[in-house]
Amino acid sequence: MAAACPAMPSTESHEMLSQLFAEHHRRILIAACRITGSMADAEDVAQAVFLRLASGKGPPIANAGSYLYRAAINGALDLLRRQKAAPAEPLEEAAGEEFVGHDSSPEADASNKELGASLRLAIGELSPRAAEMFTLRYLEELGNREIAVLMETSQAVVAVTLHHARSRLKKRLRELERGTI
Amino acid sequence: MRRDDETLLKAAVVAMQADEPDGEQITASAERVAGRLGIDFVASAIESCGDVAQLLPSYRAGDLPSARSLLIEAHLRECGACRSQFRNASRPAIVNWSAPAAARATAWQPRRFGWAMAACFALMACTFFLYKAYWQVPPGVRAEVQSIDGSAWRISNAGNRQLFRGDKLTEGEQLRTSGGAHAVLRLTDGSTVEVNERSVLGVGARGHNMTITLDNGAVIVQAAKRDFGHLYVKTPDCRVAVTGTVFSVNSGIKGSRVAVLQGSVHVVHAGVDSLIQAGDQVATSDNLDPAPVDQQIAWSHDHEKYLPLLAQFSVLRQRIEEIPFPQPRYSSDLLQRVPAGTLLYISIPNLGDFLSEADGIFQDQLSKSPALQQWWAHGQGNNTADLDALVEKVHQMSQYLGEEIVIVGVNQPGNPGFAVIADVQRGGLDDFLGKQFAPSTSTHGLTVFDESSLNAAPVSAPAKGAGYALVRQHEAVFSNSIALLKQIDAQLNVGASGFATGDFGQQITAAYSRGAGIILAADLHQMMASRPNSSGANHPGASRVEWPAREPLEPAIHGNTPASCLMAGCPCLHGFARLRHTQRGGCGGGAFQRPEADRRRHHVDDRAGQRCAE
Repeated sequence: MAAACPAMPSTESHEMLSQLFAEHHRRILIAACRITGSMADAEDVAQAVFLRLASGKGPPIANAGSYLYRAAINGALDLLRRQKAAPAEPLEEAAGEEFVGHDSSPEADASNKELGASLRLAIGELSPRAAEMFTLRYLEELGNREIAVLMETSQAVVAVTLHHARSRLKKRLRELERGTI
Repeated sequence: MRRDDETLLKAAVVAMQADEPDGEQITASAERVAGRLGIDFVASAIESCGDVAQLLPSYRAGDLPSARSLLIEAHLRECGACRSQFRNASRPAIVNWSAPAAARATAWQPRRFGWAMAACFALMACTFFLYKAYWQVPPGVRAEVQSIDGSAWRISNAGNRQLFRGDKLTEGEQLRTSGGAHAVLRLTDGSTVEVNERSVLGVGARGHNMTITLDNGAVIVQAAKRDFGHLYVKTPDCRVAVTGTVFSVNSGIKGSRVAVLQGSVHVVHAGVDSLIQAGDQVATSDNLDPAPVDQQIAWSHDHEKYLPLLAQFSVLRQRIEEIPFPQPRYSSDLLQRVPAGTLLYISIPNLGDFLSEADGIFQDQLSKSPALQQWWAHGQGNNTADLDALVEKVHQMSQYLGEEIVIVGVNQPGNPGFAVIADVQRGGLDDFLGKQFAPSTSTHGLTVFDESSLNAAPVSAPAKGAGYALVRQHEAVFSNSIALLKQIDAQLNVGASGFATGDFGQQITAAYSRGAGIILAADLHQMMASRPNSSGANHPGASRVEWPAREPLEPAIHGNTPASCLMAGCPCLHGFARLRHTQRGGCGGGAFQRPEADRRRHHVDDRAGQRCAE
């Protein structure tokens, strides 16, 4: 996980963790689920993020939301990279928790699942920083300025990085579509 | 069908975005994660906007548990529709039952109020000094009775009481002299007031000024010289302002009459300010029969002292008026030769003979009259020799110069330069200047150049003492700037500068054509334009210039010699503001005459005249 773990006061960690979880679990689970494509993976990511927060000294409450959100995205991206290195059966299928998509057409649903899986594979091959920027920009739909502030860099760097990431992803998606992995 | 790369990427992104779990899945996952983390988590049924809308009233009222309140807050942060619904519903429905907050005192910000405080202090300081100078009532007495012949009374709120020598008058008290009485008061400023019989007067003070209020009767005032303020004499229909003069005021039912024995006074009557010279008198009503001044002061115990002096002044003025004044000039050679960039042009006649003759008359009269000698010794000390020497020096120098002397102001880098140009009518001026204006222990003297030595002189030499003089074969030039001397010298070598053919020069030529005694001409347009940070002709002051007509010109104007004042470039003065002496040596002084008042004679532009009249 690229994001550093900030400190959290131990004396109020339990109560604070409960409040933070109630407040941010939905956003974290959705973001992790979009990236991993699996609700079980999203649960693992969320659990790891909150455990890491509870074990540390914790960030100021005002920054906890941003920290958890970014940590969840990075955790999900790490998971994508690990899955690429060691392909395994989707957890939801093994656990019987298959994710139910919104599209009701079986054919379109299958096509989208395949396309989404290809993009996840391609994102997992990007550098961690490029993958995070791409995720924030196109999945979470943040602006370049917000991304630059969040990642403590300039908008120009964000734009250039996104341009290269898009080029690589297009090329990789084409290759995957042709079956030349 | 193959898709292009961009479309493919977009479709893949949309597919990933579509992988969003529904509320039940999120709730189930959240419960599992919370269980693994060992934290309290209430399985929430708040999964849709409808659920949130149902809980908003309880949320507003603060009835929800903290965990559910957090869920509502989290949903409101993410869902714009619910947030706007919450805000819109809150505005009309919520009544603020909380206790009103205490009014917060305005924070003191010295920087914010710094300028305002400075302005206030400046205003207060100005008000204080104005009050001290003009309105403050000084404490103490106003006058002391020096002598009384007959009976005089003090009239005050405390009652009437007879006055004796040494008694004092204070603010608000009046002095009344009975029939046949005569009193002399000495004011606190040193002035002396001689009071005739049946007179009523009071003495007051405001700031630096003192005022004698004469309700009835006659007084002769010897006003002391003072550094601040004035001595005023007020009658029911006029006010006399003086300093260092002797005059009489007679006030009665018909009006007031003011006669001046020494010096001059300002008389303000019916809104008109008149300057009255020694030997003259003014009455505020036509019903007052003219009476000689000597009759008006006949009641004074000192009239024998005043009368000879009055006679001497009259004779002196009459003899000086008989001196022929230089004739008007109808053209000028110097006008052709002044620098083309001249902004200020002043032309005066050579008054050396006039001054010398006037000084001779004065000295002759002074030697014959003991009264005049006493007055001169009292007022001027024993500096007759200095006056003689000065006049003699001016007279001698005037013998070398032509009939006209021109003063020009030229715009130069840095400061404007001024020069005096005159024709030389005989040789030896350089030797004369070298001897008469040689450096001494107290003065730097005048540096005299000829053309060759001027060329060798450095332009950047600092101005010394009385300045520099250039004596050429036919012209003499005096200036405070070597650079300007060199410029004029070069111009004189070339010949005509072309100044007379310009607009400004043509106006001056026109003034000469009407006969000129004194010409004062200024190109205001160019003056404004040459000033730094100036908007040139648009400068608001350009349309408001008024010429200080009376005081600077009056001593120099004599007889029927006209003085012309031109201000070129001023929007309201395209015509000639013309000064003419209206009375032959009289007390009227110069009168400011608007162009439209003499249009037939001076060919004044009609529109300019109208603007001037406006």
